Amino acid sequence: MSTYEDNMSAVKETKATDKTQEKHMPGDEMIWLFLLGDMACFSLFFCMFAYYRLDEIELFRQSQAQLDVNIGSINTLFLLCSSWLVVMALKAARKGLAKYASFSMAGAALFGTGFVILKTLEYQHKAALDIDYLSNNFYVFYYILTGMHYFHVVIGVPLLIYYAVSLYRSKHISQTDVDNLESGALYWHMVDLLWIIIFPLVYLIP
Amino acid sequence: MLISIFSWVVGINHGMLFEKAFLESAAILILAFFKVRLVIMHFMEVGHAPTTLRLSCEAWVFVSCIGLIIMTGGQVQV
Amino acid sequence: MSLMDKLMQPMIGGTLPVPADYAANELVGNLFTVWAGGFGIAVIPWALYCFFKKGNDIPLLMIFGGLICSLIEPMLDHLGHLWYPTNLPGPAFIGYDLNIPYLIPPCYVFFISMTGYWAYTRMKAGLTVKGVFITWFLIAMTDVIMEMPGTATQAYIYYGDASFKVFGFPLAWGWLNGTSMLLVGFLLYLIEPYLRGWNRLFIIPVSVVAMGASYGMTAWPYFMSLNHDMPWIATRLLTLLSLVLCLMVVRFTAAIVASGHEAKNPIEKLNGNPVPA
Repeated sequence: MSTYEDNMSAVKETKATDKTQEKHMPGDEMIWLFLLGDMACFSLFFCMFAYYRLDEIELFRQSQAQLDVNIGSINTLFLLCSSWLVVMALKAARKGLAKYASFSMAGAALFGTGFVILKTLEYQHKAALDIDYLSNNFYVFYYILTGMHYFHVVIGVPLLIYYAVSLYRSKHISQTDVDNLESGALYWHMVDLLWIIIFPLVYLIP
Repeated sequence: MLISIFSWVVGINHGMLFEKAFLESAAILILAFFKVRLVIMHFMEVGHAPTTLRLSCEAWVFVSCIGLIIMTGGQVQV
Repeated sequence: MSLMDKLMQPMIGGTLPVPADYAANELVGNLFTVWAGGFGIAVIPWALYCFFKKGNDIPLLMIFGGLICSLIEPMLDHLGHLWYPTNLPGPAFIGYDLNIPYLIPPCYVFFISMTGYWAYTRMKAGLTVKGVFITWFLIAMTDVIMEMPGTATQAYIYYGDASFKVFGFPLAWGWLNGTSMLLVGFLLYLIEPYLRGWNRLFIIPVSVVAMGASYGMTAWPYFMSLNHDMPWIATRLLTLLSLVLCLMVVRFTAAIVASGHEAKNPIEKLNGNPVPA
């Protein structure tokens, strides 16, 4: 009986240590504070959008019809691919494969740039139609939601390029380098996930 | 695995038709937050993170999703 | 106008009449309140968690400090020619005849105290001179990122002819605010090891003391450029002078932080004293 109990507690112990070994906080506390704060702000924006929408539902539907769903879909795809490449880059960096990580980051930056270009075209198209952020309440939200997000992307792309370049040049990837990469990757994934909500919310919901 | 998630995710974007607009909105939002949760758990590696962080992220996903569905449904008077 | 005429064009300084009729779009005002104030509210649960679960009282004390620090805002708005429309949610309080909207106290909590706290944690972990400059730059960027959506959507306005405006945001505030946030972290870094027992409460005034000091050191040329009569080119040059002063202050900070490398008590280490256990 004691052997059985000993065995069971030994198994439990190993399981417990496995669990603690598995748990790893990506990035650090402060970046998560910033990310969760940002996500909380956007959540409040989304709820405000839904709230104001109910008052002027017809206006919102009409304005939404003027948006280009195809560009939005392609942009979603761009950001998803970009995020996936960042995941690949981080995996490679952890294994010390600097060049491979560099190329993945560069690819991610490329997709990010694609997003920026398409979004800029969309904004220009709207401007040509004389629509700006004060045209009506839908457009206030459209410009602020997509605009803030655009701003986040515009800051993220140079960051990815910086990572790509410094990975390309580095001979050895230290733990600090990996930690910095993790933080940047987290930021970029947040940018991706915000768009995953913004696109259906603004462009798709009937 | 990721590729299959991709193609599914992109395919689904092109709409289903429910009769009630509210149901369709809710479905679209639930799907969106499902994808978001995948990004958080797998891309951001929160699935393997310490419990407090994981709970905070799950809470954000859940509260945002439910909150947004309720707000689009017009069940809240502020 | 010839180039010389343009450069020497006299700019009227003095406190301009505030654009009192200037109002923000109401929805935009609400959205910006969430954006600027939301982060400050969001950190409260985290600070409570730090205090109760981890025994780290600094974030919570810094939050109180941030709220008090926001009292300095009217002075900076008055000198720096910033107008918050009276139709923004608020006022939290009034100073220099200016309405200070509700978003300001929580905004200070995050963008002065929490960014300062972040700088402090990085200094404690050990920073080289380059590291301090990078930290300064990143912190300055958080301010730019927070403010540009507000100025671009005209939720509030920097009136008059401020130098180097991008999307309505005068770039000088980027480096001025960035330096003040860095100094909040720096002051905390220097004195925290000495604050024990009831003296812990002195962490609360760290934010406002450091911020006031920073503006005193670096912002006076910029404020001169806005409030004195002088040729146009002089206003731009004085704004650049404020940047130079910021760089000087950051460099000085970096010298101390880098030599107090990874010290639990940087002042003792700089004195060459053995660090008490």
